[in-house]
Amino acid sequence: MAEIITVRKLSKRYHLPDGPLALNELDLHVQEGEIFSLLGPNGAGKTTLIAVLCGLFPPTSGEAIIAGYNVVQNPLAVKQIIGVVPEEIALYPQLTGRQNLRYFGQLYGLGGQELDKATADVLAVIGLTDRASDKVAHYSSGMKRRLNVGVGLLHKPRIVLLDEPTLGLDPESRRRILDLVLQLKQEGATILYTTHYMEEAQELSDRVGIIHHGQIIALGTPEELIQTMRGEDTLRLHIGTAKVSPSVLEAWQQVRGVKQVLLEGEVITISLPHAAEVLPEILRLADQAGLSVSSLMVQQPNLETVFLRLTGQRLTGATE
Amino acid sequence: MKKLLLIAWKEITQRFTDPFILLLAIATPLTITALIKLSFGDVVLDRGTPDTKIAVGIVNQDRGGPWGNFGQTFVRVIIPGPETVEPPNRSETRFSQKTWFLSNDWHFALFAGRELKDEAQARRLVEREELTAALLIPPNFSQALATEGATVKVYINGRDSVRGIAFQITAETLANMISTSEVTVRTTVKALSSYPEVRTQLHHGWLNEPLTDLAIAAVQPEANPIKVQRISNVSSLVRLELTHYLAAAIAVLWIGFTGLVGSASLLQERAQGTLQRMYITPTRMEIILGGKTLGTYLLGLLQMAALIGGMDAVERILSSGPRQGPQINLLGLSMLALAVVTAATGFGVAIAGLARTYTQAANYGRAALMLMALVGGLFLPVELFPQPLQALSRVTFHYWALDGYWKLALGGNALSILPHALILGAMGLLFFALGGWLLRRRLGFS
Repeated sequence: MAEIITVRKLSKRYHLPDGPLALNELDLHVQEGEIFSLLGPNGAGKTTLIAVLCGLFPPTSGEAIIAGYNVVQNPLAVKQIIGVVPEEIALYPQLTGRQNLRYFGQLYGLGGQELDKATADVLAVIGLTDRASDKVAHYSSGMKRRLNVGVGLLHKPRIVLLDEPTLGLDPESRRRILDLVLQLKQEGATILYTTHYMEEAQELSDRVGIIHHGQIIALGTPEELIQTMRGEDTLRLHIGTAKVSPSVLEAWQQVRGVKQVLLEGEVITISLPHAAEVLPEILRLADQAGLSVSSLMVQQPNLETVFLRLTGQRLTGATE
Repeated sequence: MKKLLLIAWKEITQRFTDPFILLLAIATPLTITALIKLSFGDVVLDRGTPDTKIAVGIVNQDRGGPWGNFGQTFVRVIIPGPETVEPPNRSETRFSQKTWFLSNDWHFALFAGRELKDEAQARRLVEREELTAALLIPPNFSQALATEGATVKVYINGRDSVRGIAFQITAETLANMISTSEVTVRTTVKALSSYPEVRTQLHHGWLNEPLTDLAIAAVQPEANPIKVQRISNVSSLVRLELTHYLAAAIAVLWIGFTGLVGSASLLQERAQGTLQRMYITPTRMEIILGGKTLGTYLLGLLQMAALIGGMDAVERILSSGPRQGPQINLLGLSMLALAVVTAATGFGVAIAGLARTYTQAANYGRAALMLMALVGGLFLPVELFPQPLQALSRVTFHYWALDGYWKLALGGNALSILPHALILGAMGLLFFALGGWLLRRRLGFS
């Protein structure tokens, strides 16, 4: 497979010279026809990367090349071959679903029968044919989100950049969008997909890049990434509102095999191999410290475990 | 070009299919106009200036009558000067002695009068527009006042008829004062003659001659009012009514709002992400900004057309009498409309460039528009303002818009409002340049 997206030492600093550094010499190589997911918490730099790739903002340094075109030097050529689905719903509420599709389709250069067909096809794919003549203002959030995706696919782009397309969706709408992404891959499109839902990245992706503080800190197929955590379990203890003293956290850290102890609100997350073997000792220490454990859960390794292990933070709720 | 028109068309579709916007942009100003029309009816608005005096002339051919030269009374009042401060001479009546101070009254002080030698000169100067109006007092004026009733003529320059009519009204006021005075004297003499002693003196001719004449006239059954005959040098006079003035002002004010809201919608689109979405299609930022601005501009023109048409309809429906004044010059009106919308849209673009958010642009822009409308004379004629404020009004597009409309309403043509159109167009281009530069910086796209 040929490389279709190449990002080299890409940096983006907002409000020069001392503003926040959203991308920090990021390197990325996406192959044609693959689904590449960027997994990271809010503020990791996912949206900034998409914005630079689609020409919204110029990078501070470094370069990005899409299908042979430099995004800074040849933005119109890049924009013609990419489709972008922004994180925020970017539609005209006063226009109907069909009017929105046709308007953006025309901006992509579609017209006549080609536009009619593309509009009808997309409406069918996103399941909005029956509601196409309604104003978007009257759509549910799931319908708006689906239309938001549909607008980005109207001109059948070779490369699709999807920025958190399932954010805040109900399970049914989310399933529709995930199926649509898989269908696009089958049709030969290359997909760069950003999310902070590890299940989505795990299900969809050929490869995953974990992004944190504007850098890719781990890269590989989901299996490869999980493999690095093989034999490592995650133990979650719910302790209610009880105050946890630093001494008990230190005691847990001293238990044989424990690699990481993390306190987040009412949940203590402990990374360790073979959790079942040391579980009695961990519970004994909790009891000794006067902590009442209301529930516990042992998780097998997944992408979230990988992220947790690499950053010391959980995916959901972590911020820069 | 195709995309430019597409974006402009989207702007129009989006707004003209929104009932709320239609209500706000078209129905509201028309309703306000109708309410004003119903409230004020045919109130005529004088745009005469206290600071800039109205040039008038007076031809006094009056040879005088039994009680003096009443024509001279007109001269004294309308042509105030150092000589009016001096006491009247003996040949004048006690009435004129009492009325010379009227030249200091505010409405007589509106006029810069000069005495003319004859009727021909008066007509010529009015027709050349060197004078707004001229008053002609015939040779037998004072004599006729005592017998069959007198007539004076007022020549009016129809192109400046509001001021001319103001002069006519002043002349009528003065004539009424003279006439009333005369009636008062007659009534007094009639009352006195009912006394036997006075009747005996009259019978024997012991009273002096003028008083005898007056007493004879006093017993006649009718008084002799002065008639003021108006003669205009154009066929139809322009009556500028308060409702016309306010309707034009409302249209200009609303166009300002449309320009502001339309242009500031760029910031709204940025907030809702659709501006970025347009930009990530293969469309240049210049096309997007141009298309949005063109859309706003066309919306302004459509709104202007709807308001002009609507206000005309309101006027026709609510007016009691026949339509007054000449037909407005359509070419001139179109030129002015194009120029006003250019300035208003440009102003909106400049405000959008200066503001950070749509709310900021809308709030600050509305405040600026209201201030400009006030200074520009949309609520009160600028002639009523002090001189510095009058000068300041010239920097607002509202002033040039309204002044241009007045020129057209008074019978002007496209050429007469060409300076207005050019100034408005230049203002618009200046605003566009400033706003465009600021917007490119503000939007921060690559």
